[in-house]
Amino acid sequence: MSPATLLESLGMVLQVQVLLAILGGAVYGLFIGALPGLTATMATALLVPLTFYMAPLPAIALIVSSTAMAITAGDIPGALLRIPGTPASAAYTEESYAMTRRGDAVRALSIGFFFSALGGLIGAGALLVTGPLLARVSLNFSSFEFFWLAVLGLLACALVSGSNPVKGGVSLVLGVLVSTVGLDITTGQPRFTFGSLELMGGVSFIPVMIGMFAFSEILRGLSAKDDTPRPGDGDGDRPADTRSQRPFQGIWGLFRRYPLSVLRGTSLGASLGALPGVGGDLAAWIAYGVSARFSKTPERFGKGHEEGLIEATSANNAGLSSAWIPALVFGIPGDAVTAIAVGVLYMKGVAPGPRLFAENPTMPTAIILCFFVANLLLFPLGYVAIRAARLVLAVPRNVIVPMILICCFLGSFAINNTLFGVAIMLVAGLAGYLMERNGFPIAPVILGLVLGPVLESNFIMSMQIARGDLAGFFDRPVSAVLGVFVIAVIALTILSRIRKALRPGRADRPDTSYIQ
Amino acid sequence: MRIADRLLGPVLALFGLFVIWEAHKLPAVPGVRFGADLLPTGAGVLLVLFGGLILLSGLRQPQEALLHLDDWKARGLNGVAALWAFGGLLLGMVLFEPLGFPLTGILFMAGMMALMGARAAVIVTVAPIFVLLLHYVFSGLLKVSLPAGVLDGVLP
Repeated sequence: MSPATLLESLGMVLQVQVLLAILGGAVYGLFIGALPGLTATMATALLVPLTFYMAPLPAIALIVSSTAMAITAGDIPGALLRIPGTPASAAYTEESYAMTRRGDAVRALSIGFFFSALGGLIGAGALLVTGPLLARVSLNFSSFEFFWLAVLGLLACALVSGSNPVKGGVSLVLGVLVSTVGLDITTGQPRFTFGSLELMGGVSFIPVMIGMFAFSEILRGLSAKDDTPRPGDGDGDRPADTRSQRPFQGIWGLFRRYPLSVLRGTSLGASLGALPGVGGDLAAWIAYGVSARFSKTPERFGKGHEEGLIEATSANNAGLSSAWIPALVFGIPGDAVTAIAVGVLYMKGVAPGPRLFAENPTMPTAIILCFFVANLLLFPLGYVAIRAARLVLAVPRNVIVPMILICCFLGSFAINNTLFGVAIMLVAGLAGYLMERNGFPIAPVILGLVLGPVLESNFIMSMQIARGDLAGFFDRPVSAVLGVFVIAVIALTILSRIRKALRPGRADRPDTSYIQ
Repeated sequence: MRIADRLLGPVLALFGLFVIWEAHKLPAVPGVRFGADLLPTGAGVLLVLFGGLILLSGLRQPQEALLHLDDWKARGLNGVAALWAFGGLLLGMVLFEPLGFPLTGILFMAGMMALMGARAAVIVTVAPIFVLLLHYVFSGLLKVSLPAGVLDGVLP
């Protein structure tokens, strides 16, 4: 990347609209992320209708900053109420809540915000360095390689999105199936439209997303018994006072005491996050486990020890930033949030992929720079958030939930100015609710919906090039390597399932899909 | 509603067969080996396969009721609120054009807030302010054509 590109991109980011979008997204993400039960993905899904009316860069800047802030703010209910706001924060909720019970709530939240910001900045650095390099390599990729990458993205998502890969696979297939509704991209034939004119244009992914992530979440929250603890609901320990202590006090000392944890957490997060389907969630779980494994004081873990918290929060946001590597470089989103962002980019006429880096390098660079600004904002906004955490948590649910429902209705309508979008949202919401009640993760549905057309168009194009010979997928070196890798992953998954079936009683990885 | 895996599996497999059948009906294009039916057929086959695997795993699990309906009565007003969240939005679709977005939105939101236990003073303040603000942002600033309904000409 040339310095001229960097300067030009910086100029784009420093425009008032973009900075306002970043600030607005951060404040919004902070509010949504801090409320128990409202997730970062839901925050992103509800923003999409608004991005419809914005220029590409402010639209993506809004998504980037709201996600970064919502994920970090998800630590607030985790630390104060023992309710993880995101799957990633679930990895260290026990640790941060133990600190709160000890009277160290501000310290726990300060660690969360400071090391998340640090991890996010390092992850953004990895994205800035590796993005253009990978894009240059992948410029030689053809439809054969992109087909395998799409398969890999879908496969990884199905495998890591819950404790049951078969149910993850069903979610994925349902998403792909929904993407086939409408006019076929190659022959122009209507598929699964059943005579409906509305379905000819396909199922818009925005109402599906709003329904699956926001509406179903509300239904789930209402159907659960309301035993949500509130700030101050103590259990005999010291209350979660967030006003008497100064945020970020003594953080530099922690940084100097645990440099290896910071380094390991950010490296793990940045490298694992870049794998399609992994993202920051799994990175946080692994980083916490690695920290406990290599700690000199493993007996203090689970009792409010800073070390694991530092390593896991660093990994969390580093993974969040680097999850954009496959999304921006290959156009293959790795998780629900990047799937939404890729959808928004397509909607704006900006097709992510190596050509974007080659033909319009300022745009992807500007998007990456937005990560730096958004993560830098975590320091001042984190300060305010820690001071005001109790106030945010005190907002009554009977005000927030109706507001979100009205936004769901309006957002689904505004996409095409038709009530058909609202109907899709309601159906998707009900489907999402039923799926989650029965152990089917919903993030793969969105990935399937976005990647379905990518998969199909690249397969058809490849077959036209190879004149229908399937061996064409193994003719090119990179394509062959990717193909063998995909087949190996499938074979190993089947083998491991067979082994697990023969040895019943082995525990799975903790299922965190319930808080996606 | 929880559905036992030994019922879910066959349902998914049957749905997969339906998808394959529908895909099979798509007309083939001469000279094109892989056409519009390819992806739906693949998806259908995978649904049949996954449905079978879920059925097998369901048969190995301890036998539970095939269909377990959620006890909405135990949820009290929250259960009614969940029903209103869905039914109220459905009703909102019907009233959207004749009544307009502002009135429909206020009615829905006030009902939802009441069912969730908000105080009357909060309902009469928050619901109209929030809905009218949304109407102004979407209709006035973002130029989304939201019907004003009976308030047509009254609202700016």
